[in-house]
Amino acid sequence: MAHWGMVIDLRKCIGCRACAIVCQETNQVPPSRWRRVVDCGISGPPERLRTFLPISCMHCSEPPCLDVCPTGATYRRPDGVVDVDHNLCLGCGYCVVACPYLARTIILEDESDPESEAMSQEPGMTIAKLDSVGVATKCNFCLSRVEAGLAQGLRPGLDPEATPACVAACTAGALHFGDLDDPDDAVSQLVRENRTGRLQEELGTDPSVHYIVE
Amino acid sequence: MELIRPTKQEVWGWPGVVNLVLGGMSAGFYLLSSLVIVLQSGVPGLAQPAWFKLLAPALTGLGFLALTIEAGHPLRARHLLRRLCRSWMSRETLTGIIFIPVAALDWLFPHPALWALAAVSAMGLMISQGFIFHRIRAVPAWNAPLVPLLFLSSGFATGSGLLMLVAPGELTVGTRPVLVGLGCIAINVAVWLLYLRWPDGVAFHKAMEVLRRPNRQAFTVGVGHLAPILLLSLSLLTPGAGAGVGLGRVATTLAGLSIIAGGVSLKSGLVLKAGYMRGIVLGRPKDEAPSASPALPASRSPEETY
Repeated sequence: MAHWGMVIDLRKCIGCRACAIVCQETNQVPPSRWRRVVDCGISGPPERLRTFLPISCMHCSEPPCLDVCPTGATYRRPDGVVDVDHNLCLGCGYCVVACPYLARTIILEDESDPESEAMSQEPGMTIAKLDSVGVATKCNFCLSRVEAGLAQGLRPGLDPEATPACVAACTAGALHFGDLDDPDDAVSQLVRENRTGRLQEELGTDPSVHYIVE
Repeated sequence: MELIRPTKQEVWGWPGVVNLVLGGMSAGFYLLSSLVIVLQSGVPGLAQPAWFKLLAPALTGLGFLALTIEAGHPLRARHLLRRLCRSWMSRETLTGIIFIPVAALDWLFPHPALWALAAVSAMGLMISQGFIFHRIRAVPAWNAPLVPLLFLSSGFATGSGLLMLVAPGELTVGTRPVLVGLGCIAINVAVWLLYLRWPDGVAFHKAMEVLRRPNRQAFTVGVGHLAPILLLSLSLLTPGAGAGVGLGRVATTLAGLSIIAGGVSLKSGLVLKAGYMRGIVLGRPKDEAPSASPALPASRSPEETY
């Protein structure tokens, strides 16, 4: 069984926000809810580097959101993806405050984005899918794309159709997706061959998203 | 290194505070009013004034009702008991749905067994509310080890405030309710002050800054604790202390109001003011020596590109 994960090369991210916009369109959520790109500012001399931090659900191996969920709506799949059963979630917000990555969000009924609706591939579709309004939602690594791709014999991470939309849309090649348990997979090699760090590691969440920092 | 500064949580607001205040206060009140009866050698399940038994579950129910304002799909609350083995919110729900009907049944058909079950669930309610917050690692102010104890002591303190309001009309038990109230307030203020100064890291201390401001302290500690201690001490010194008459009754009533106001201030401060999400920190790269640091910027306010 694969362990899906992501590697984000902070050296390459140019802050274009294409990943966030394509996420918004693909998953029909309001802007910057499932995926955001944060401008972290400019480092001091002599480097003076500007850093952008693409951030979304980290699909932790020890997810704090799963620990607290009172209904069992949040669950972790054998392939490492942490997902939400929208039919079980009552929108209590416990997972939203429990997530140390600010990755969870509750979409309200009146949150619509006319511009985004106009761009949506499905005319007349409201920005938030009906089953995700009022519940705690989050990135699920575009599971429907990944699973559909696998069913067609495609390889997630290599074939864009089987890869999360944000990774497929990344203009700078900063986002990578693949199987962290497969030593030959590109993401495993990136983790092995670069200086990588993960967010909030001291909390013991064991996130599946690695950042290349240098 | 911290890449994104702490931001205040905006998911839980006043409905949550109402639930916490009413839940803790009613559970504390139920237990303390029983204790007062025990102290005067009565049998708790039988000797407790009847409407006391109804007041506590009614307030708890109101607290849960307040949460429906915040929840996106409150009718799905039927799923809340699915994670009893892991989630403290499930456990809070369980204790609530035991406490409310059992305490009401005890009002209709007084029996020590019903009282005992209601008392255990009332205690469970206070404990689970504390642990709901303590389990949230993302919010340093809530994740502190003293938080469950603080919820327990605060529940008993606000419960004693409610007792001060209603006891003089029902219980002519001498000085005992007043002494119980004094004890609860003294313990709660001690736990609160200890919590504010708990050595729990930089993020916790930053979150505590807002609670340590003089105006908030003046209300939470001054109005909520010191004033009632003075008023209750005064009521003990008046003729016919605790008998629920004259100046003593005025003092205990004022003290009760003061304690409840302090309890609201304490929990609203904790939820609404100190609820800062942890700043987002990038861990040290796997092959990096502790002293080295990659060329990334220091902490900045989160400013999203658009």
